[in-house]
Amino acid sequence: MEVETGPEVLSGSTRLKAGTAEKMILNMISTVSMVETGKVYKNLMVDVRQSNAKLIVRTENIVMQAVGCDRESAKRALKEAGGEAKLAILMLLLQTEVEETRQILKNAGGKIKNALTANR
Amino acid sequence: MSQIDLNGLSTEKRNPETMNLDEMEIEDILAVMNREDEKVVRIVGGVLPKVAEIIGFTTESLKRNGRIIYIGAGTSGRLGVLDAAECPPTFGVSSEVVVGVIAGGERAFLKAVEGAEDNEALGAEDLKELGVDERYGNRSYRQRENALCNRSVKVRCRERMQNGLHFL
Repeated sequence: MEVETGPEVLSGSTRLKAGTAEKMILNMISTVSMVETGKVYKNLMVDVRQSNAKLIVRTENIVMQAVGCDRESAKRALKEAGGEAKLAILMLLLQTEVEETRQILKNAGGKIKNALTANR
Repeated sequence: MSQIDLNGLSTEKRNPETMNLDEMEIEDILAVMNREDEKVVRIVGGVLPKVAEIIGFTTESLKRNGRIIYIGAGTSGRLGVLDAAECPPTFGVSSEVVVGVIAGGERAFLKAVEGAEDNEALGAEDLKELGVDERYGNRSYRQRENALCNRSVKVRCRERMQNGLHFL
């Protein structure tokens, strides 16, 4: 595909409009590819990594939003799930133990939605 | 090497709104830049069916344990590296799933490596390192654009020689 972004404000400096167009399209490609391959539940990043302080809180928020629980429950479930939001969410939704949930998730191809349909 | 013809490229044309850019007031320059950026959103809006088609390929590729590889030189390469870098923390995928390659290698991300986009050996080495089929090796970043067409999608947002993004 070709995206014709036209003459730049500074002639030939394609880090401007052309770069902006590319950024938008790459965002679309990576984000939607991940949605389509089950890395997203509703509009939540359920596979996010707890790699810094901000992301630890965000992961708790994601669990709270997905499940509709309080922070304490989210923290507890995340601890048991070794920080995996997806696993924690499913544990809370299905009221199952961590190992059992891990198996359920695996059987569902890693997708929360499939796991829920299969186990309700 | 024959000289590259830039004349047909819209991004190389001069923008009539900014013929006197060096004499314009700051606010006026910002207003023009903002207007130009608005056009970009509309232009991208016009190619969404194409983007959807590409995502069909990438999704299929990922489902078969394939990869998304962005390849580019200069800004286009840098943006690919940027997008790829954010996938592991955001989606919990390994850094092998979405890969960004910039002509000149990692150091070119921070500092421009002049001539990297035309260097055949560099291009070949980068692809070899990724384990991509050797048929696609031994080409410069520019030549590779065409060579990869069979198995890849080309996204070009700028002049021909600088931007080639591929999904293998």
